[in-house]
Amino acid sequence: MSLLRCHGITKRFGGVKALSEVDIEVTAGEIVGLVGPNGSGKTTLLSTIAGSLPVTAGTIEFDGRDITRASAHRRAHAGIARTFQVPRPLGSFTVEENVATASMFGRHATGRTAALERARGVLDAVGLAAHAAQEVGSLTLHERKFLEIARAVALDPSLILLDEVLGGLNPSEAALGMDLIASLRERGMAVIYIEHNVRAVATLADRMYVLNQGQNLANGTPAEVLNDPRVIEAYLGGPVDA
Amino acid sequence: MSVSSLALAQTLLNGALLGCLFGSIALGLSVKWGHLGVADFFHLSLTLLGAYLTYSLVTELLWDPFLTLAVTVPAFFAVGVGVQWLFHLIDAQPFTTLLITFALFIVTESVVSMIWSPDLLNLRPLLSDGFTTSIRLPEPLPQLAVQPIDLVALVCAALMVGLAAYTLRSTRAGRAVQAMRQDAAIAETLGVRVLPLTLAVSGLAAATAAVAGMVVSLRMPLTPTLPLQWIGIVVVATMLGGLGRPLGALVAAVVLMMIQNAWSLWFPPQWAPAVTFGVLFLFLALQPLTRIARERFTSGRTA
Repeated sequence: MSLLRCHGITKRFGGVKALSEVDIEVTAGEIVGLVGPNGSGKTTLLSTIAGSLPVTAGTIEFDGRDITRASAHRRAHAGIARTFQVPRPLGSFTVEENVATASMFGRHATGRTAALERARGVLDAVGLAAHAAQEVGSLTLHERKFLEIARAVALDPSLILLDEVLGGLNPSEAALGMDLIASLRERGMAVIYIEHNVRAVATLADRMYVLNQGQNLANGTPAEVLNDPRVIEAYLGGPVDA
Repeated sequence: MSVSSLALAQTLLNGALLGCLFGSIALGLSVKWGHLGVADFFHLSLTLLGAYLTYSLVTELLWDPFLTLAVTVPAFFAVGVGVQWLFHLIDAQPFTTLLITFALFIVTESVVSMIWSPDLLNLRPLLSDGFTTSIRLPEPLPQLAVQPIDLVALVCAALMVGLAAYTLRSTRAGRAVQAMRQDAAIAETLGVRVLPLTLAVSGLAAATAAVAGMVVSLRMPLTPTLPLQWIGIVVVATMLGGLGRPLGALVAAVVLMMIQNAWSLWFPPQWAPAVTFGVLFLFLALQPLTRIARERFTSGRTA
């Protein structure tokens, strides 16, 4: 049974159609890669699923319930968490306070002490335990990206939306990030994973969706998608001659 | 002109107690400006309305001044919620909220003039001696005196500011407000119910105007132009104290009023407001310098 089912998602910004009747389904515990050229609507789709942007048309069902009109906090309580392409930590909170905020107000809301305890556990899991008491301003880019993941995990979601969490990282940091994403599946969470590096997505994903100019272009296993001529044309502008 | 130390001490004490009243008014403005991004000039008008409502309830219905809070506090809470709901409905940006609250500020003065007349109204003659008779401070300062009304201002300010500061710093709701203040969209994705929270904060801020208004009605004669006299000290105290910091606003109001009162001992009192704005000017002018110094110090230490 599908955990998430988006049907006919359309999103307009004035006269610009960013998404046009996009369909996507995710089952519990799977990693779904979402790829496409720049401007194809990947982040917009993530934002409509997370509730940060309202849809113009279409329906979103999560865990059997229609959440199309639900606010972002209701979706967080239902079990949807997201990260942002450009990390947006709460600047006056420490690292552990950032994560604890998600535990305090998230799906299984707790008191401050319990939230801080849970935050330390999550930070340990993502390798940021040593930075728990630091101001977020002192973190490097990859630490900020991992903090985004930690904050999402602290919500205890069943679906995490990851928006280019490996972007800008060096190869060793990216490898750590890929291990981290794989560990989310082991925790029983489903993941929708956007990344420019298609090979990285293909390595982790069980299935992939490709968007182009705000529309579904292809979907299937990574092997099927990477060999689809339409995908090759969308990325490279035409078939690759041997 | 020589001034005795006793006169100076009494002047500073009077300034500090009057500063408590302005700190109470600045509390609501500071919370709304700092946490909701609304520079709410209408808050001053609400304080004036609270004062006039107290006056009417005391003079017409012979209510105890403190009992009037049972009506004005819930009513003002509802007004605060309503104004914030309006901002939500029209998706008001900060500049729009500034224009709307300033318009309400102007309109309220006219409405108050129409309902209660522009003449001075004074509750003081109707108050019992317990409110108006000065009392001497205990040892070691028996030469100094305070009015019981000023002690009411002190207690109200301490209670409201203390409660607000404790709530913001140490409670779950306070953490939610702080998260919302930093990034409302992020707070929402972390499960914070941003809209109900903004409505509650706005309502509570407006409710403080009812309490401050009650103190105003006891403390000074009422005229519809009072908010124009308060606006300088309240806005400057809000900014000096740090937006969204109740205790900071109270301390700043107290210090500013002590300085203003002391100034009036040596210089023409009509210049006193210039002192307030002079302090704000110095503060704003020195802020970039202190930041540069801090950055240089920090980078030097890192290197």
